[in-house]
Amino acid sequence: MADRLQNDPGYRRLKSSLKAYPSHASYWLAADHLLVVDVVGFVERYRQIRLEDIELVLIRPTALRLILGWILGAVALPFAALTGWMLYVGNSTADTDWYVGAAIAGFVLATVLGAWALVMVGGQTCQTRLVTGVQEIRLAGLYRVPRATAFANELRTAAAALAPAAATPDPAPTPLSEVPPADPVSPPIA
Amino acid sequence: MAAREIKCPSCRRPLPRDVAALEALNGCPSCLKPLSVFVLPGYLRGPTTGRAAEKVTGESEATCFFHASKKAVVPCDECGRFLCALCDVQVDQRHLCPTCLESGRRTGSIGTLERSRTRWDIIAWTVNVGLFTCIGAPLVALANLIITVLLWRAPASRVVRSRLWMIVWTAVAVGACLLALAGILADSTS
Repeated sequence: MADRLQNDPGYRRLKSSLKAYPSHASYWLAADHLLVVDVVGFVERYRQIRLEDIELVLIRPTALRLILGWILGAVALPFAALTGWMLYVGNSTADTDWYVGAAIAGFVLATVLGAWALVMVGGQTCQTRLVTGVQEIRLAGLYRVPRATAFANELRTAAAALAPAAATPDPAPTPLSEVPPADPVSPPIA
Repeated sequence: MAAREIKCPSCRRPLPRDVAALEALNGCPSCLKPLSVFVLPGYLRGPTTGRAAEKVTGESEATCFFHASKKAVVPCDECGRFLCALCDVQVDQRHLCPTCLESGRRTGSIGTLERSRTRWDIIAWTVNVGLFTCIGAPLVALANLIITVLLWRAPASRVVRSRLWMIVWTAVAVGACLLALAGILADSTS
């Protein structure tokens, strides 16, 4: 097995949402299992889930992106008004101090608008959970509906491809009493 | 097999058990919050169960090393002890006894059982960013050099090129250190 998953032909990376430090996750599909790689702080954790054990993928849309968008919009609005007002007063009085104030307010406005754009582009729109017979795992790296839906479809296809093979149980190992000895004649001890 | 009860992730009330009804869901019938469900083959099959160990019926039969009353079905691929179906743990197409499995997990000799790795590249990055302003470039460069040299052989990330990133962060720290030195020299000569 190759040390890096990218170089391991047995694994294929499933697309997840944008990376965000200090924690992010990636998902790797193998022939019979899903490998969840979670990075939390300075530690990379691995978790294997057998495809035949996965029962459901639940995608619950959330309003977090909209709420954050409205909050940032509400913060940006007074700063936009303040910047505009300072520029207007500066133009009418020809006092350069107003331009300095407008520049400071404009900088805050630009920062808030940048955060707003980030939330709009990459903000959370859903929570994804994977359900097995004994656990319910929240998939932290899948927080956008299109990615989560594509992930669930890929997982379902892989599990369905595995299902006929999994339906036939593994042949039980032959009891030892029925296995002929490998070397019936022991060499004489010198 | 009857599918087990699945609960809504929001209100924890049960969802319909029927596959068609689950797949057709647009929201939880109880709390009405939006929800999409992807059913995988494992839902209908239910949790997989292990084989039961058979009891010994005759004196000629080999018995399990750990359970004297159970029939041995396979030897451990590591230590050769006879194992019953209960004690036989299949890992990477090998049959292992619980003792060898535990020692393999402890020593890290079974790659599949590896649970986590430390991301030294993120630590090096944090040292660069976090300490640069506090203790100055030379100490940061020294700390990064120590991290890179001492931990070069430590297991690297399975997802990103962590060794390459350790070199990059060390180079950045050393570069900053040289720039600072050049600045000091230029100051003293002028």
